[in-house]
Amino acid sequence: MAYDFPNSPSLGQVANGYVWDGEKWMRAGPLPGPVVATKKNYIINGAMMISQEWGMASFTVSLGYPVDQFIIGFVHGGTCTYAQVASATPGGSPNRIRYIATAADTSVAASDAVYIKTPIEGLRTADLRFGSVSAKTITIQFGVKAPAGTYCVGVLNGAVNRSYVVEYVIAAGEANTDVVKSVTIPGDTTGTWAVDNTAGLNVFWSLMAGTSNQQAAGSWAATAIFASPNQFNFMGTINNVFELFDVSLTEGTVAPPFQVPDYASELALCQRYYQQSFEPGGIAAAGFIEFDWAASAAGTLGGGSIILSPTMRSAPAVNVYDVAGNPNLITVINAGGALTNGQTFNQLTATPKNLRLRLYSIAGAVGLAFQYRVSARL
Amino acid sequence: MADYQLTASEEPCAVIRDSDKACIPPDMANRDYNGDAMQPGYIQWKEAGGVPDAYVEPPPPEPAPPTTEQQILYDHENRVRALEGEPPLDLDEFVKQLSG
Repeated sequence: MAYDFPNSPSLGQVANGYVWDGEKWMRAGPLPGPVVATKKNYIINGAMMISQEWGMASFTVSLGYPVDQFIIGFVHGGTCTYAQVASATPGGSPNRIRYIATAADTSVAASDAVYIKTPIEGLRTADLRFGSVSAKTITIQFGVKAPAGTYCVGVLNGAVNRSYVVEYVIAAGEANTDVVKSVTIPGDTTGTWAVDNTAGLNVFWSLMAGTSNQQAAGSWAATAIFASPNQFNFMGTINNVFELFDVSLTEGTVAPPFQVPDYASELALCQRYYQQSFEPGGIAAAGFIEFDWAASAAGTLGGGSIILSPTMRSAPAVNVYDVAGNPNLITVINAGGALTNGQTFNQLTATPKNLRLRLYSIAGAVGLAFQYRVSARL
Repeated sequence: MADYQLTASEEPCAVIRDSDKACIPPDMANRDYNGDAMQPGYIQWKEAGGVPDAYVEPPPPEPAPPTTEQQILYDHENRVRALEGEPPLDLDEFVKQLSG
């Protein structure tokens, strides 16, 4: 049997069960046999299961995190809502993120944009060797459910001055159904790609892009662009729905089938970037953090430290709330246990490893209570 | 009111973001402090001409109320001083002398 391969294949092109890696044809998909090697998925929370901050609450404003590690930004004349939703995916995850156009914007202004972005820490992507002659080819695989059209996906460095855009098509027959798409991107041999605790690589999906956010697909550019001129205007029709799920970024030209990660392990990975002391969606009066001291020492300096586990990516930004949920205030515990909300505190410091809060002398106080959230997001 | 307020009289120092009262450390690796064009942080806000509100000294600590033991000692001391024809001591001054 003879195979007929294209004479001038493009990178990632598949023919006869083989994929062109830029130099040679490689078998597409796993090798036959009982042992299938797994690959490192550089994406954290690609199963969209972890949503520490808001749970399944909906957003209507830009730059919210419907799930950990995934941020949605937009500039347009319409309105939208987005959230983590419970909806089983082909890869087996119980969750995905969903973005809905609740008021259309049919006229795309130059600066208009809708994007979903997930940043990856440089320490995690260092082995991809971007910015060197040894840069590795990567493949982004993701599940998507969207109206028919041409969309864009790509990568951007942490310094937001190197970007690569790839188009993918939702055909008419694929519209509004779960499909798995895969794009391959050659590693960038130039540019600055962080290999420390700052953003090494951003992956983005574009839903709308004005001319200021467009560049030709298929090549590296010294820009911060995330779409091509062919980008579909997802916001053009009210009630359009875009869903993203089962996301992986792996080295090489072929992605393995998506594997839902262990929940506890993935939660720990997410907590390197974000943690909070309360359940998703709001401050709970129960379960607050409490520092107590002996009644005989009442009125003297009070406070304490919390070990942040796991160690965070950087010194985090800290929000402190009293038990009633008032920001930047704490609750004083009085002798006998009565709580007084609305108390200002005197010192708040945070390192990647701990959080320390101090209250100077308050007459009658025998303790303090509060809730907190810490963010070292990229 | 500006978008940020300093927490010390000189920078670099942590800043309080007015929108959510987050305390943001002066760490260039922290996105809220040093963001980028897509997600500006405090540094980008300042570079765009933003001027933070000045640091406001927190109120001094309240003096600690005397313990029962200190109060008993204070009352005893003043009874002795009264017998000796001396003027009574101020409570705060007496507590400071005990602590010293």
